[in-house]
Amino acid sequence: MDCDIRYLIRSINEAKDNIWLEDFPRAKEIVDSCLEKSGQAGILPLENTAEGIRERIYELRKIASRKRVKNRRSWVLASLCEELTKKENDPAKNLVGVCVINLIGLREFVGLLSEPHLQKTLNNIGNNQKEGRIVRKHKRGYRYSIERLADRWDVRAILDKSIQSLDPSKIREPADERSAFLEDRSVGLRSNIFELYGRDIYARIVGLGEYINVQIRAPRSEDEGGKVSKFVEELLDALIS
Amino acid sequence: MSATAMQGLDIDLFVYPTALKLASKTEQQLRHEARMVITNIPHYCQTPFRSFSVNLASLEVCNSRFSEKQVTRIDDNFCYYSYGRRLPLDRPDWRAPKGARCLVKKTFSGDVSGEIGESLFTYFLTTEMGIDPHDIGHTRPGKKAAFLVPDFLISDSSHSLALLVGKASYPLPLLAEVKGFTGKLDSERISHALQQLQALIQRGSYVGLVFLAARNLSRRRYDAYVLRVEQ
Repeated sequence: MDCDIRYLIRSINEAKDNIWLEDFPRAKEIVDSCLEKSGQAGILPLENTAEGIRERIYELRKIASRKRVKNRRSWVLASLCEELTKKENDPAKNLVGVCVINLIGLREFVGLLSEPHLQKTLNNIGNNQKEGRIVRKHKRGYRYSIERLADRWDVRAILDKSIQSLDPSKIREPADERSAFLEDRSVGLRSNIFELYGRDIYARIVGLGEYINVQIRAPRSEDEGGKVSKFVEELLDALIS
Repeated sequence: MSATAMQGLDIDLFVYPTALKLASKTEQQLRHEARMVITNIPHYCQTPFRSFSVNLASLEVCNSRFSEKQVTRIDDNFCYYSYGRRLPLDRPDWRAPKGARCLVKKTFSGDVSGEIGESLFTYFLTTEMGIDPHDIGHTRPGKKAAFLVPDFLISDSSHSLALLVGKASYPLPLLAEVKGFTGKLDSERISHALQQLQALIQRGSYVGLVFLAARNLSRRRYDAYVLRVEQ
């Protein structure tokens, strides 16, 4: 059963990562494929097991209210625990069921996000019209999206290959070409942060495995967007080399 | 205080030495267990399992990937959250609707402390323990409530958490409940976490972890405690 849960957890995370990147078609692909495989493995009906327990929790809450139980939450959990023990319910089935419900919810969510007229946020309602996030696919083993915020550029990237953590030494060369100074800020087992201080650009690169978030500040100019994109691709090309 | 003045956050993480056995314990016994944990922590948790400094930019990445309450940029606002300061709100000139007034009266939101707790937990797992972020499931289905599911399911197939769990091998996935505290540890909330895990562990021979993240005002840092929970 863990194999199922692990596969489901990884698929949910992968779909969420693509939502983070705003690559909704890819997120949809992942969710659809996972649900199809779950259907073949016969685990989709476990959704009902999780829903059944949820319904029972609601019933117990009502009973607790009727009985005016003092500590309702504890009483509900204790009663449920007792019932599950008596019925010899397999909790693994409930966990798999919850993951399946999560996936079904994600499919609905991605469907909504993919509809352009529903992509309005507080930022672009009214006078604060702003450009949306642009997803750029790249041939060389990564995808990234870029958005212009009020005071900086926000870049999100996912590398195609799995890595433990980023290797900052790989961007020494592009940093030197720009006469930029590179500084390691934090190093963990699967995460690291480094900052690049250049004459005309500042970047803070945060890596968590193959997920990268870059915050860039550059002076305002006519072709600022083009310059930032070029710089981002230089960085990512170097990091995957 | 500007965000740049606070780039890092120091954490001492302690592991509660004895595993809590939950099988067939009643509601009252679990409450007693939670109270005992709080009483024993000052005596049993003196040497940290890990002391580490959290970079707030990485914490924000964990927050955006794993937490669920849509509070963003905790790195920019950590000084306010961490010290329980009232967030500077733009108050409108017109009178706020009756129900909305509580928003400006609230000094600190439980959602934010929960968010910090969840982010700290995933930060610790990935950065300090080397767990693959793909294997950490925050599986609450959207905002739907009342599912019997812990905060996190961890499919740690390489058993990287053996030291933390205190066993060379353990059944997967690991179940974890996270509680964030801005003041003193609250036995009621700890017993809720134990009850939530008990319902799943009792029949499934799973192992559970309860991660408590508590703001330590006097030391201006966070203390984290890990409780191990078994059948």
